[in-house]
Amino acid sequence: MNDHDVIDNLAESDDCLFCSDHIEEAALGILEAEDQERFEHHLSGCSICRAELARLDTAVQLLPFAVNQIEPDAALKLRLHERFLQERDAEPTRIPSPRKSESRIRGRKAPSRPMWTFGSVFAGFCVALAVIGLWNLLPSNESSTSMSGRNFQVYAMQSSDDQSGGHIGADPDSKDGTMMAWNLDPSEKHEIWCVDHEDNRWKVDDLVVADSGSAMQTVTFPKEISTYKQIYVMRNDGTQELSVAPNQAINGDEPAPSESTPAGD
Amino acid sequence: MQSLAEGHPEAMDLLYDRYHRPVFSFALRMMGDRDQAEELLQEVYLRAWRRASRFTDARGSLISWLLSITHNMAIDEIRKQQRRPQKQQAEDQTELMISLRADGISMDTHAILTERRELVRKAMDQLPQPQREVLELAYFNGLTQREISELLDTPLGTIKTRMRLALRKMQESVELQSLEAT
Repeated sequence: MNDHDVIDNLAESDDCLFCSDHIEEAALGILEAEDQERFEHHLSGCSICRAELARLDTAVQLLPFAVNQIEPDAALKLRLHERFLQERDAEPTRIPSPRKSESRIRGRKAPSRPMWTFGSVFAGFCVALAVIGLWNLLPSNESSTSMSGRNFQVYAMQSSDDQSGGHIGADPDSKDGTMMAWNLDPSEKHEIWCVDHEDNRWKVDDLVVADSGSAMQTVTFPKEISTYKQIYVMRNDGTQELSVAPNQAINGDEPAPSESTPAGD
Repeated sequence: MQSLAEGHPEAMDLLYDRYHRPVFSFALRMMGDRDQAEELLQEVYLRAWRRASRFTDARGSLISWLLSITHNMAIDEIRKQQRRPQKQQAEDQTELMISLRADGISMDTHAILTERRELVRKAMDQLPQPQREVLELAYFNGLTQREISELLDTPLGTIKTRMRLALRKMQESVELQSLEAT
């Protein structure tokens, strides 16, 4: 059996078929934008396609070595050196996540801009929580059965590299929440994803990251938050930046499992 | 990489000394213009600094990581400019081979680069011209299958098949050569 047959036999679902049809383009990094999202989505849940892509990558990664070696202008090193120093000094100091920050920030002068940024985002986050809380106290057809308006939880998102951090504030029985994150790379695209207990995944929204690396936005999930086993923020290279399991809140009791019927996608 | 992540300029200089030639050569091959290639190299190294803490050698070598950043950024730039790079520059075609034994590059790095270049060139030489052409247009020029199909006035299905066969053969050839080497 050759590799071609292997791929054909692996195509067990529509998504696998789609993936096998586009896997060469993906390996070569030339997928069209509209196919990229579907491809990445499928890849995040399919170890077979991931393995196939990894095999192709071994050949693709060698392609750059085929080019003739050419020396750049000798002044390029100096230009890069100067630019590096310039950008390094202009870069805001990375802000550690709140749970680890106290010992590091205490005892040294924190740079004013990041602290301002962090402070403003955090204040905004609190205001947003308060507004959502007040909103849910108002009589409403939707909220009257399952929302008390007092069951707010704050979920701490775990960082994959211990540098970024984030929180989600939400009523677990609601579809709406507020996400706050910091120390993200603003040059990268970030997406908010969720996965339920049946391993169905949804891209919820793009996470808009400010130049300071902070982000705060309200997020509407397809289903009630308590129905997800994980909510995560993914970078455009397919790796997870932040994640949280919504059965672990940091400011209250563990939310009870929701008995409400998921609204579906 | 830890030192680079912490912003030490010596770490940046060392990274430049070790890998600037393959990164620049690849950038030049993709952009087709010296000035743009130099600009791209700077962006690549700055991105490498910003992401240095995320690099892990479990996912590949440092040079492969740098070249992967170069490729992604070049594709983005090419698409942003909505233009394609010129044909290979004269200096590329005249095989301006620089001795890798020159200053700033260790024998280890030299050996790795030479070995990989031999490996991939041998694999590419074995491809029929139409398959090689499709592979090069896709990887080095950032063209999608649809764009290649229009450029070569060839059905999309044929382009897909050529690309698939080219990559499979490359993969098999590389695996075979690696096995023989061991």
